[in-house]
Amino acid sequence: MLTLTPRAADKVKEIRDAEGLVEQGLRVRVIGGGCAGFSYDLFFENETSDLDQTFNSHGIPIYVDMMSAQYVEGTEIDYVEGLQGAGFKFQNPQASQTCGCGSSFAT
Amino acid sequence: MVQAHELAWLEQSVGVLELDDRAIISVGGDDAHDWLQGQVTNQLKDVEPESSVYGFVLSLKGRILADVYVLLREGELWLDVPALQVDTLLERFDRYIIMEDVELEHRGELHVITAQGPRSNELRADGWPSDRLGLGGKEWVVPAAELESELTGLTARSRELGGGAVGRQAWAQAHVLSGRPRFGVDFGEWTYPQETGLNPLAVSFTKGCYIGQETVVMLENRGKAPKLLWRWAVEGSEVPVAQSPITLNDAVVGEVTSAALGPNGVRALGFLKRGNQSHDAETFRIDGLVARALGPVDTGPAVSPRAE
Repeated sequence: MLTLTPRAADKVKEIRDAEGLVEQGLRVRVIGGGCAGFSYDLFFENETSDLDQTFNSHGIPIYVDMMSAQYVEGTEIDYVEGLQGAGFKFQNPQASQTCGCGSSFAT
Repeated sequence: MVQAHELAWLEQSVGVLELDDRAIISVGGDDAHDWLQGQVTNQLKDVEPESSVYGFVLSLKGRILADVYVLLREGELWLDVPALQVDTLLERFDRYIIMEDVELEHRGELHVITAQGPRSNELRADGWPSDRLGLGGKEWVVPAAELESELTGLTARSRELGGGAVGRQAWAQAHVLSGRPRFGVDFGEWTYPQETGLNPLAVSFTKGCYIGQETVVMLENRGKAPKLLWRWAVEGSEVPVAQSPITLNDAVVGEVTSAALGPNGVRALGFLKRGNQSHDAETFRIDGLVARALGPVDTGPAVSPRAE
C-alpha cells in the first residue's frame, strides 16, 4: 500500500493539470543511487503493466512496479513547503537511513 | 634496487606495462550512464565518447571500495577497477540495480595496458587518457589473445621515443616518488576520499548525489578528515617498510603506507593524524630516522603538477 497525504494529492493534481496530463496516474519508482543508496523517482504515466501494483489515494492513481514495491511498501508521500525549499517527502517504514535532503534512503 | 632507467622513462619519455592488478567490468544497457552517475564520485555528465573519468566507488559510509577509471565507449562503459575488488564491486553494484536497464559483467578475458610519461600521447592515436603519475598517460584494453602482440608493439614504439618496458617494481617506486597513492597499498576500504589527497582528481562537489556522498560533503565542509596522506623525505638510504610509525617528539602521529629509494633519496607516503599538520617544519622521524614532511598528496606533483 502506498498513500498520499491530502496536501500531496492536491499538489499532484495541481502539477498534473498544469501539465495537461489529467488522465494520467503517478508512477512511483525506486532507482539505485543517491547519497544513501536508493532514490525515489516520481513522474506521470498512463501505461501500466501486469507487473505493476496500482493504488488510488485521494483520487490519484498510483502505479508501482513490483521491484520498487518491496522498497516502498507502507510509504506515505507528503508535500512540504519551507524556507529551504518545497518538495515531496517520503515517510518510508522500510528506510533504515535517509540522506539530509530526504530524496535518498537505505534499507 | 632502484630501476633507474625505468624511472627515467616514466619521468622523461614513456614507460609501458600491463596492469595485471586491474580488471575490466562492462556496464551495458539503456540506463548504464545515468545509473553509473549515481555510483561514482566524479562527474560523468557531458563527458565525450572515447574519454575517461577517474573516480571512487564508495560504501554507504563514504569509505573507498575501489578507485575506477570509467572508460567511455560507444554503447557501453568499461570500468577499469582493482582486480581484487571485482567481486565486491559486482555485489555492491547489483544491489543498486532495481528496474534500471543495466547489465554488469566481469570481462576476465580483457587486459589493461598503460603507457605513462610525457611522451605517452605520441605512442598511438587510440586509447583512453589515463594519467596515473601526473606526467600524462594512456591506457588500452585488449583481449588476452592480443596481449603479447600489443605489448610488443607499444614497447617497440616507446623505445623509438626514448622509453621502454617498465616492471612492477619500478611502477610501484614511481608512485611513491611522484606522490601518487595506489589503491590497496596507500588507501582502500579503511580511508575516506579526502584522506587520500586524490579528491581533486576523483571527486566532483557539484555533480549531485551518489552513494556515500553525504559523508564526503560533511568532511569537505567541516575539514575534519581523521588523517591525511602526506609525502615524506627520509634521511639515509634505508627504505622503511609499510606501517612503520611516524613520530613527532616521541609520539606516534602516523604511519608509512609505502616507500622507495629514488635518485634523490628515500621517499615515502604515509598518513599523518589530524592535528599534526601545523608541525610540518619540525623534525619527524620514521623508524627512528629523520624525516622531512614534503606536504600533503594533494599539493604534490602527481595531483597538482604545477605545484612543484
